[in-house]
Amino acid sequence: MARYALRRLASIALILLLVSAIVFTAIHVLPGNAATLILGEYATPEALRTLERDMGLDRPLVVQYASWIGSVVTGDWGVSLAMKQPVATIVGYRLRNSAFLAVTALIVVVAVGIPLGTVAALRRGRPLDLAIVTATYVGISIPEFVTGLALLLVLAGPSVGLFPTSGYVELTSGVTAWARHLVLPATTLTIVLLAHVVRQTRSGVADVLAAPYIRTARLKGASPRRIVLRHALRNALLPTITVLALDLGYLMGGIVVVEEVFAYPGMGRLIIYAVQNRDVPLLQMCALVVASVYVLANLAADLAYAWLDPRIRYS
Amino acid sequence: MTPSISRRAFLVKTGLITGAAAIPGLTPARVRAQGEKHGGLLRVSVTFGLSTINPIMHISGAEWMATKWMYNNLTRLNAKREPVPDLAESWSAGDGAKVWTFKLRQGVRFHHGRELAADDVVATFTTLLDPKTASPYRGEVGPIDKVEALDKSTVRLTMKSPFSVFPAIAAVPNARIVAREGLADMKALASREFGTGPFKLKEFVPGDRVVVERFADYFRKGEPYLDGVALRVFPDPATELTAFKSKEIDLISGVTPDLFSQVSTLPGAEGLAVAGGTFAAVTLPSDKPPFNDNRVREALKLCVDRKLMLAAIHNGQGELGVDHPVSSAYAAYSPLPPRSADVERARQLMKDAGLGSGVTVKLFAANSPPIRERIAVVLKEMARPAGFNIDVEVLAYDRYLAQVWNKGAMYVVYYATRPTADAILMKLYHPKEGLDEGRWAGAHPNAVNQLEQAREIVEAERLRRHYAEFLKIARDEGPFMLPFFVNELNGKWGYVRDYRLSPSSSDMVLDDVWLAGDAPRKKA
Repeated sequence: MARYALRRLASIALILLLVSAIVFTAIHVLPGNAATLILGEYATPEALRTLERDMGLDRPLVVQYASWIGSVVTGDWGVSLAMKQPVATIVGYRLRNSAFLAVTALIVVVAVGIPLGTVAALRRGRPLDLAIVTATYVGISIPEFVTGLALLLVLAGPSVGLFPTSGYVELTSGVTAWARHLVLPATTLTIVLLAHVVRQTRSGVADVLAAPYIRTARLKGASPRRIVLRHALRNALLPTITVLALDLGYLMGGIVVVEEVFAYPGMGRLIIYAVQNRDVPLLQMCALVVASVYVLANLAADLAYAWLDPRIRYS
Repeated sequence: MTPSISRRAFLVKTGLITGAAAIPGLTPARVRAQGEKHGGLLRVSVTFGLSTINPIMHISGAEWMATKWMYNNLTRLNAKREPVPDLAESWSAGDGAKVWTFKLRQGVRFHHGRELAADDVVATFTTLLDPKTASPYRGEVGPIDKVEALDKSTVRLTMKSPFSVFPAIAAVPNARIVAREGLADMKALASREFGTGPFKLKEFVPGDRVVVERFADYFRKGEPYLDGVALRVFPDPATELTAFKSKEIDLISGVTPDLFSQVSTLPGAEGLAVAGGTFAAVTLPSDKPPFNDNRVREALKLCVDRKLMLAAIHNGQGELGVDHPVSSAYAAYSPLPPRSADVERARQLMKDAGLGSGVTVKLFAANSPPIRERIAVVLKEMARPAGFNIDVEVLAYDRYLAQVWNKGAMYVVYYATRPTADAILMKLYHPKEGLDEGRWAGAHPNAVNQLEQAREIVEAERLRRHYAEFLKIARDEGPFMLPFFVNELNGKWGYVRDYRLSPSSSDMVLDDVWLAGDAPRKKA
C-alpha cells in the first residue's frame, strides 16, 4: 500500500510538471504579454522594453520556464506581474474561499444526492424514480448562469431579499453573515452537480440489489432497511466516490461562471484574470493548484476504495 | 450667429433653479447641521479592473476612483473642467507658460502622520517621469524638463516648451501626490497607500474590492462625512443591478445604457447622466489608399447617420460628434454645425476619387468595451450604399493590443475623457506627443503646428478661438470618423446626497458626499 502510494505520488509530480509546461506554452501562443496589458493603449516602445526587462519577459522562453521551475521547487511562487503581490498570498486567499464553497457544495451534494439516488433505485420505474431523475437532469441541463441568476433574482431580489446577492465576507465578521453569502452559489453548484451523484448511486444500488448475495441476505431474513444500508449501499457507493473526487476538482477551479455571477472571489475568477492579464506566474500556480486538487482527490478516492472494500489490494 | 436662448428654455431653466430652492430636500448643504451628515458606509460598484492601487502605474477607471479617495493632486477639476486648488493653494506661470510655480497648502498631513512637503511633490513627478518607472502616463503630463523644491512649500516645474494647460493636467490620476517614502518601494505601492486623501486604505483584495475608511486629519476640516467607502467589482451586470435594487450597493458607476432606464425608473433611485468626452471612433489610415484621398475619408464620414447610430448603440445617451474629439465637456469646446448623412454626395465623392465601383476595406474592432464592435457593425451597414464594403473583424482585446493597435490599420479606437482638449488632441494627432493613429500628421504639418502653438496660449477665450480653427480642419480632413460622445451614466439611491457626477466618471470626489438618515448602512 505504502509503495503504491509512493508510486502514485511520483506520477503526480510528473503530471504537474506536464501541466505547467502545457500551460506555459499555451499562454505564450497567445499574442501580447503582461507588459502590453499593463500599459494598454498608453504603451510606448520604450516603456514596453523597460517593463519587459523588469519582469524578465525579454529572456528566452526556455530560460523563463526554467527559472520559474527553479523558484517553485524551492518554495518561491514568485510575484504576480499584474497585481505585484506575492502569488502565494493571492492564491492562498482565493483557494481558501473556493474551498469553503466547494466543501459546502460537496457536503450538500452527498447529503442530498446519495439518499435520492438510493430511493430512486428502490422505486425503479415508478413515478418517484422518474421525478427524481427528471428533476436532477433538468438541473444539470440548465446552464449555471441561468440557474444562478434565477436564484439570485428570486431569493436576493428586493422583494424577498433572503440572501445577499453576491460577494464574500470573512468569517471574522460573523458566521451567519459568512454562511449567508455561501448559500446561493453553493445551491447553484449543488443543482448542477446533483445529477452525477444521483445517477451513479441509482445505477450502483440497482446493480447491487440484483446481486446473488442480496438475495441470500433477503432469504436469511434480513430487514429491507439492513439490506439497503449495510449490504447494498456500501458496495454501491464505490463508483460514487470517484464521481465526487472529480467534482471536487471541478469545484476548485472550474466554477468560473458561478463565481462571476455571484462576484465571489475564488480560483475561477482568478484564473480568468491571470489569462486576461498574461500574468504567467499567477496562472502557472493557479493551474498547478487546480491540477493538484484533481490528482490528489483521485488518489484519495483510490485509497478510499481499498479501505472500503477489503477485496481491493494495490501492490 | 450669437448664441440665443428661447423664451421657453429661459423659463424652464430659471423655473428649475428657483423652484429647486423651495424643495426642502434640496436646501443648500451648508445650512444643515454637520452632525446630521456624518457617518455611514457608501458602497460603490464597478464592473471591471482593480489590479493595483499604485497611482503612478494604474490605468483603469476603477483604480482611478479608488486612488482619488486616498490621495490628492496638486489641483482638481471643477464641473467646468477648470483647475481649482487641491494640495496647491495657488500657482502662477512664468516665461510664456514655460515655468509653473505651485504654492502648497500648509499643514496637510499624510495618513502615516508626516506633514506634506515640496519634496514629496518633486519625488512624485520625478518617479512618474523616470523612464525606468515605465509609467503609462509618462507622455501625458506635458513636456516637463525639471522639477524642483524652492522651499518647504513651493515647487517649480520647468517645461521644455510652453505648456499653458499644465494646472489642469496636474489633476490626472497618475499625478496623485505620493509621500516620498512610499515611492521608495514601487512594488509595495501596488497594495499600500501613502496619501493625504479624505480616506485611508482599510482593505484591498485585487480583482475584487477596495475598502477605505475616514481619515480624521484630512486637510479639508470636517470632511469627509462618510465613515468609509467600499468599492466592489461585479463581473456580471445583472448581479450588479440586483445588488443595487436590494440596496447592497448605493451607487453604480458606469451604468450601461440599457440598464440606465431600469435604474432611473426605480422608485427612490436616480439615474445620473452628464455629457462626457468619452468616445469611440474609426481610424482612417491616411498614409495609404484608399483613405489617403480626403474625398474617400469625407465620403465615409458622410455615410453615417449619427443620430440613428447613437440611438442604436447607446440608447441616445450622448452628444453628436462631428469627427473631432473635443466635446462640450471640455473648457476649450467650440460648437460646429451638426453633420447629417448624405449618401448621394458620398457616392459622388467616391466616383470623383475613382472608386465609383466601390472599395473593400478591413475594419478591426476589439471586443472590449462593447461599443467598439457595435460601431464597426453599424458603420458597415451605413457605409454600404456609398460603395464601401467593410469587412469587420472582431478580436479579443489582448490580440488587438498586440497585433492591430497603433499599427496603421483601420480600427476602432476608444478614449476616455481627458482633463484638457490639449491632452486628447495631442494624443490623437501629434506624431511625437501622441500616437497619430490615423497616420495623418506627415501630410498635415501646419495643423500639427497649430496644436503646438496652442500650448503657448494661457488666456481661455483666445485658446478656444485658436482650437476652433483646428477642429474645423479635423472635421473636414481629419483621419477619424467620430460619430458621437457617450454620456457618463451613474445610478444612485436618493439617500446618497451631494454626489456630483463628473464628465470623467472615474474622477469621483466623495469629500462632501453624505448619506441621509434613511440609508441602510448609515451606522456601519
